[in-house]
Amino acid sequence: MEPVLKVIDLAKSFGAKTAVDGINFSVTRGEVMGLLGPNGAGKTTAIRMIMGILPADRGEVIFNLDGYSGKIDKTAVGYLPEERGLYDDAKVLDNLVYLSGLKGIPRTEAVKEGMLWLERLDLADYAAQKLEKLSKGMQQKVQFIASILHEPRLVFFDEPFSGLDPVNQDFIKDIIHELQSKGITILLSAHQMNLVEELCDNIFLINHGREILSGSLREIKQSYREDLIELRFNPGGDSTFTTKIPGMRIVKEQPGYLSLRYGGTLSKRELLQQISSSIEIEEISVEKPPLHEIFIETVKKRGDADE
Amino acid sequence: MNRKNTMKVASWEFIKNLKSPTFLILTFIFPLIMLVAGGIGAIAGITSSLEEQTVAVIDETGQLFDILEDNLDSTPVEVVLISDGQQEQAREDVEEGLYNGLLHLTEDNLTAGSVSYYVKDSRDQNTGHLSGALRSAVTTYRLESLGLSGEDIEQATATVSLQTLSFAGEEASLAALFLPLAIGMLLIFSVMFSGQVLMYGVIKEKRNRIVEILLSSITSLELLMGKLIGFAALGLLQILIWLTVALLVAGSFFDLRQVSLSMSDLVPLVMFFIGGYLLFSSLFATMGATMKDAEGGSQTQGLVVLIPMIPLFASGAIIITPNAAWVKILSFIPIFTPVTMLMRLAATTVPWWEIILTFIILIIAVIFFIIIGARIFSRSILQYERTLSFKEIRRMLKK
Repeated sequence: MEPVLKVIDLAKSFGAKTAVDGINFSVTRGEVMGLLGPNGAGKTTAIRMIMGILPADRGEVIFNLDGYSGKIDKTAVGYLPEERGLYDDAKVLDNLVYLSGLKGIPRTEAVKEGMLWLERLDLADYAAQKLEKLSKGMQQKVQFIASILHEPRLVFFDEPFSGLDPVNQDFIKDIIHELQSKGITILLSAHQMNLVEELCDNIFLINHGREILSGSLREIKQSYREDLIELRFNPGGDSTFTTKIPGMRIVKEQPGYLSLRYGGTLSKRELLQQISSSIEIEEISVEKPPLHEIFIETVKKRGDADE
Repeated sequence: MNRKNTMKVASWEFIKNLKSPTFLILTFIFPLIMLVAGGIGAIAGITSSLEEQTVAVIDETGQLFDILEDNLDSTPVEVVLISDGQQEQAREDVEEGLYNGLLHLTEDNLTAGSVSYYVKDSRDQNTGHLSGALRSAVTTYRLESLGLSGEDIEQATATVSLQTLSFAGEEASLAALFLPLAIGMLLIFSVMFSGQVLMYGVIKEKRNRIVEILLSSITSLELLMGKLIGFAALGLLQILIWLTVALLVAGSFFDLRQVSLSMSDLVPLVMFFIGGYLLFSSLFATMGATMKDAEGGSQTQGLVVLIPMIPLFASGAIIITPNAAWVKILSFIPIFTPVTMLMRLAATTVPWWEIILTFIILIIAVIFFIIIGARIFSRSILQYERTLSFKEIRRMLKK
């Protein structure tokens, strides 16, 4: 499938500091791509360059939103920056109308669509209030609306969940799912790995301005060498046998509970047989470790090796 | 550049700032302060000339007192003749405030050309009526002592005044002089005010981080141009309000029919107003983009925005000698052009070729400033953390 966004050898430095050091990736239509990395890894700089806000030192960004490839069509792209900002001395609805106006949405349509979104996110009562009267979380939701009101075909969400309570996080999550089902392409940067895991098809992990891991989230997890085993058993049993299985190590041990990592050659069935022959299993789960751990391990391993 | 986007920014800035307290205060309170200040000055002048005074006079000439008393007839100053022997008493009376002062006329100090006037506090300078009357009294006294008759003296001392006319026979009335000057000053103030508001607007957008959203939709040149146009409209509206108020107020003092403000006077004023406005605003907006906040950081930026106002400090000299060589040179230095030309246009008839030439220079400078400004603007507006140094700004321009 033809990518809607292609980033080729993009680089930027500020003085002596290299923020982004030649990254490459592409995104296909309707995909949710997670742009991940620790603080200061260069995510925001990369997004700003892709959005055409910051000129790149090197490299190319090619959009293909309208069936032909070329430069960015800003009216077809939405952006929720990490650094939030709206006119706090202007009314909520006026903010939305102005910003979507700059994206080419006529006033009447912007008012109608804006009110629909405000209602959906429980903000309709505040439409005529000045933005400064709203709580931080509410302002965040207004900002979120501003990034999608003009029905973009590609959206960047930079930390859309930060500062939101679980209920509102779910609201945003639902909307992102909905956008994806409409075929809208989404680039997502977030620190909440459980949410990224839930939402993203592909991830691109950067540190020190360079790619350290990328590809399909499922494949990355599949190819991850170790399995995570959680085991509950009759506390009377002897669990020392686990140390004798090659490739097995104990992460956490409590009476009747074991958290294990297994990177050996046995199949799951063989593994299960070995365990069940030694102790009385009450509960067992064998799965790939969560993205959270993959993230931390990869950043530690690859990031430090970079230095 | 997308003209539609620019106009959207312009109308947003116009409406938003029209409703802001700053605009309301600057537009309505400022003329009020000017009026009150002008009024206090005028009232103070009138009351000081109306103050009743009693002056004790010792007249050793024996003749001057009568002429002096005659001359002071129609003024609130009264003179009382006292004898030489009463001098000590008169001195006490002055100290106690019974008399405003003691005037001592002797043949000697008349010859020397300096007459002593003793008052309680030598800083008390309200002696306008007295010195005028004394001067003409002394002249009359001297002419009399030369043996001239009363009629001859009248002829010799008849006043002459200089009447300034153009060859077409136009006489410059006070209003005709005052009004263009007032318009010139109003334009300069308006440019300065809206420039400042524009600068703080940019700083605030930067601090709010809204600028990142804006730049994800439009270019920095569109944003800058939109702001300039929006504020120009605001400035024109402000001028219109001020002019209406000024004309209403002036109309109650002067006969405005004397003022012939033809289109040929107005068009250059408006031209230089808009040109000057764009020059100042692009400078102000650019400076705003390089600043972290209005308070902290380098104050150098604050000094830069003062440069175009330098001619304002020489406004007195420019208005009195609007065609002096140094004033002409000032008019051709783009950064000084708007303020200098606005004052010259108000003060005199500037040759048309000078108007056109300085205007062309101004327009070139404006285009240059906007291009450079947009460049600095786009490179510095996302530098949230600090105020940029001039070294960094120079580097931006080189890239």
